[in-house]
Amino acid sequence: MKRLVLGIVQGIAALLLTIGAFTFFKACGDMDGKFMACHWAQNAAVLIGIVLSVLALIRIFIPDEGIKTGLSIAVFVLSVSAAFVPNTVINLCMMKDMACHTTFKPAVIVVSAVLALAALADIIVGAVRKKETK
Amino acid sequence: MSIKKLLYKSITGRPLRSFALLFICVLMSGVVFGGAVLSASMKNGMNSLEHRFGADIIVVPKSAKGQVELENMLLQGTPGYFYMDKSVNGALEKINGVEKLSAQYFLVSANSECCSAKVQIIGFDDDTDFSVKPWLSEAYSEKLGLNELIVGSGISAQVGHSLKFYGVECKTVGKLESTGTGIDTAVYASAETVKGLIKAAGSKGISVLSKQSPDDVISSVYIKVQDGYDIDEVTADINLGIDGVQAVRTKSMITATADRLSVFSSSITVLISAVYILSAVIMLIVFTAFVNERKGEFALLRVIGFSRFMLGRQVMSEASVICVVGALIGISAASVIVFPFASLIEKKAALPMLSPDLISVVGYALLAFAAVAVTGPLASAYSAYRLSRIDTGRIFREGDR
Repeated sequence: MKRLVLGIVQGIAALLLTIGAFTFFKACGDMDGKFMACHWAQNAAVLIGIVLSVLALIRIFIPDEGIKTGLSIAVFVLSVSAAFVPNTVINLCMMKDMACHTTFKPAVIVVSAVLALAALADIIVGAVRKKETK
Repeated sequence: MSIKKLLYKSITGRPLRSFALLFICVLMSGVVFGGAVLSASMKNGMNSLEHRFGADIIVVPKSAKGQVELENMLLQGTPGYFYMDKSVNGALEKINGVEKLSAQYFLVSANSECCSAKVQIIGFDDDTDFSVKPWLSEAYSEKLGLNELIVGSGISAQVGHSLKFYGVECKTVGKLESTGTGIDTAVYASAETVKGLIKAAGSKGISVLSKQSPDDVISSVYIKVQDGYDIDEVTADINLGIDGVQAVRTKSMITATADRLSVFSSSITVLISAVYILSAVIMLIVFTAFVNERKGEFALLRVIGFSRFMLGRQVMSEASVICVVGALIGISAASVIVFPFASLIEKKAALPMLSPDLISVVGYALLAFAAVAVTGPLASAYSAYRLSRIDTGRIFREGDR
């Protein structure tokens, strides 16, 4: 039950990252048809979000406890990397009062942190269970 | 079964009740902590705004647009520009009571190559300036050279980085500390650099700027009034004595903002008080109801050897555990909203905001934690007292289970 809840939390957070990154917490729009650097940060976040969603969904349906833990390790590493995409790996706009700084960056960091924590908790639960079954 | 295990079972055995109590504690601590941090941020922003001006009077061109644009620029960071003849500077020097004055020139960049937004460029006179320099010198003590910039904290360029305006590469030589005001997103340059940018704009086909050279026009004049002179009288003298300009007392300019801040701050205080009182009352009702509901269980515990003190402690321990966990979750949840989204809140509230320092934040967190961790056990104390007076025999006789 614990692992199912953690799996669902991971799935919801991954989908939120994917959909949110190009809808309700998207970066700045285009200016006269020209995209700024933050647009590419948004694309990178969406791409990582899609990979995370696929991993999280597979993790929910696969019954093997060991594979679940392995997938959670991958989700943890990827979600930590996603948090570094805005402004660290890919630059955002110059002014900090723009949407990419005020909405996109904090939202990606918060959702990625929730995802990483859920994945970490799942890894720990998986490890404890494996120890108990030995 | 150990006491600890009994406590655990008692909390997890009634998930709905425990979750409802936990939710109240999360809400209570989140509102107290988040509200306190937001309120402090607004007060810090206002103090910063008052200090940041440095001038007693600001003179702008006489038009409704001039003052509104200046306010928007200073408070909300909306780029703006307006000009008046440079001869105003000389006329102002002759006004009695003017101790120091310094002119500024505002320029708005076209969408710069780094960014999809316009950037406010402020040209200032390094020799006469007294309102910007004290803040600039924190970051850079030298005189600004040609194509050198000092950027506000809201510009993500670091010292040593280059920024391009109208094709001119400008070097960032200093960065200001955050003020929580709109000028955090401005860049500061010398008059020479501004002239160069206007020339570059002309060569790129933006000729409108070439008619507004810093050699002929200025945007605003910051004035420091001599000690012993009444600021309002000097303001009136300027407005009456010089045509085409409007002198604004800086204090009156920020009054409207201070009033709005006061309304926000009061609303937050009311919200915190309302949530706190309501939560405390709900807790008191829930604990009273829950003792009535569990009379039979407590009577059984008395029969198996629990003392009255132990029963009371059991009730208060349950309340303490739920409140401590709830307070931790509430403070964490509020932190996740208040800190990462501070810029968004500032933008939506249109008020200057400056986050409090770490020590203050820890203080607010402890305050919120204590408020919840103390209220819960206090609310359960009455129930614990009633339990200590429980008549086990009567409960069993009545079959009240």
